[in-house]
Amino acid sequence: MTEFSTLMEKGKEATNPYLPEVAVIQKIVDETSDIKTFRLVIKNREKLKKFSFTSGQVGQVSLFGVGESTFAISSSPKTKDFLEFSVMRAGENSSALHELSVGDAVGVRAPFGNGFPVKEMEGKNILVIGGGIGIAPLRSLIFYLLGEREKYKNVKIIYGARTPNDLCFRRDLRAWKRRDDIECILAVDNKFPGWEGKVGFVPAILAEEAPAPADTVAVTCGPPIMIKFVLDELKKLGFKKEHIVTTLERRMKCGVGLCGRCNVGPKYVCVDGPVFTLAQLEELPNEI
Amino acid sequence: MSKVIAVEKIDDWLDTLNETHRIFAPFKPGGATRFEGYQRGKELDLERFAVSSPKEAFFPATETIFNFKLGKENVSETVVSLESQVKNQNQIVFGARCCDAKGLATFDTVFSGSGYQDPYFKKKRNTTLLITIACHQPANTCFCTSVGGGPADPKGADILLTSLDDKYLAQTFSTKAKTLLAGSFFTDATQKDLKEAKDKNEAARQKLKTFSVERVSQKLTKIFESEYWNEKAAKCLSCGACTYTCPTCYCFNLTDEGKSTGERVRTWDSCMFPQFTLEASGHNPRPKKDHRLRNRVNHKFSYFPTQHRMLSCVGCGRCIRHCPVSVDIREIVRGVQEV
Repeated sequence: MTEFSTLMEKGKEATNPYLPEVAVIQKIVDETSDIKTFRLVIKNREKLKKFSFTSGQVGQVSLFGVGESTFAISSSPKTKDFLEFSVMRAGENSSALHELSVGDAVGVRAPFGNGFPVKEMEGKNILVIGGGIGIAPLRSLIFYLLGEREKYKNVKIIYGARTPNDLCFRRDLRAWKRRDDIECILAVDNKFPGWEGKVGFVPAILAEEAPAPADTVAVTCGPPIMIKFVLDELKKLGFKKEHIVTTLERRMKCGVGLCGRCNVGPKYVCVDGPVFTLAQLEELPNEI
Repeated sequence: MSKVIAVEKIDDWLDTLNETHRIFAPFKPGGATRFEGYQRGKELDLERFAVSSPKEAFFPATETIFNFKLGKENVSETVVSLESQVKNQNQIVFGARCCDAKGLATFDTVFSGSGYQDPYFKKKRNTTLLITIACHQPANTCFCTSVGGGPADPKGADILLTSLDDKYLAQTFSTKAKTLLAGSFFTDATQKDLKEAKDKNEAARQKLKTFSVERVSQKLTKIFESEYWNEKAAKCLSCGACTYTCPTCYCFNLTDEGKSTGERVRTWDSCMFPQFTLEASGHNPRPKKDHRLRNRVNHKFSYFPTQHRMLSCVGCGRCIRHCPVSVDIREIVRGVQEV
């Protein structure tokens, strides 16, 4: 007997949460020397049609015979024909994923977690702060914000990477730069020949930009150390803890709150997160 | 329903039950007593406390989640076929202790609670009957009465056995259990049997030292950053014996075996291992053994109570008995209150 589940169901009569849906790689984009974006189409058209998610939610991508890893969904929730994961080559699974070609099949279990509070963010200024591959879930959010542009006030993006070549989603960044309804500030860690954007670490760029905290929600994702200093900086700038939103990375296996490893105190990042406000994080043990 | 069965008839009873059920019971095949599949002639051990808990009957140490087979549809497109079987077991766990039965409540809460459901656990759980035996010689590592249990607590059991010299009193606690006590092996229990069982069980309870864990949960939250954990974890070897033998530890890993044909396998994992939380980036939220010990104690005495209003420690003491360096969770929990 084969049971499938893409729309992850909870409750007594739910389907098997461990069974992935088979998806085919439709397109692969080389974002940087170590990040690739995989465009996946779920083979079961009915399931694909019903699939929906909120920016900030994650999925489990399986490479059968290798294993399964968690990645943020980087495509727009408004896109119904495919979903995208942007994967940095780091461990066994992500390295094996990087060897795949268009037409190869993978498994997908998604969506998991809570996603960004896009409804609560309506009517406010939005400040998006990303670092490195941390831009992946933020890209999905930015697509969403641009699709619902009239519901939000000013939208400002601050994004940094080690070098200009490490900036992910360069095609999207160029498009955002050209728009006049969002502000997009790019930074790299050190001076680089031909680089005309900002130079410095993301928290320093944030301090320099000093965005006004009034009526503004800040959303940040990046390496843990960057998040730590960005949160400190946002507090210094006077942002309310409830208006500082971040998304956490944790090693996950099941994605459904059962395997026991992704907890921060009594919260599981896979089901209670990965998105938390600073107010929520401060209630939890300091174990990020 | 209360019946009695003569000690020498236990094997015959098990033989009969074995015709319709897969029986999991404590045997001593070598030196140690462990839960294993029943076989006539194997030496049943209802005296000594088994090394492992019977959680394996519901949550095997290794279990296939699904099989996969990769192939080519045409030159460019791979096809994958997945097949999963959630097996129906029809089991009896025989000779578990009352703390082991209580431990299953943790599994029930996590794997078939209000969140996502684990079909593999649920199927086995729903088709398993639990026959427990009251402890009359609690070990010096036992502390069930400190965490809300007792040596003859029938909670979670379908049948509770109590040893009465040359016979066992068998008390049923579910309708399904009644059918198991039918047949010629049993006679009706007398008032004297019931009284004797009650006295013996009460005497066992008196043998246990009980300490209070009432304020532990709040206190744990307060001392999260304390040096206390460094001191307590100094001798820990991160071997994971505590979590493998624990009747409530349910953490697991999912890995693939095989290449183009293979299976995804669920195996027990342990929060005591540094790899448990190690991310591909190299970042690890619990890199040190004191972080991990702190997490284990917090999970049982603070996080789980916060999430589910119950402790996830049943006081079986296996983690104490099998720790090669004598880390004692009782001492840690009592010490927390003094920090």
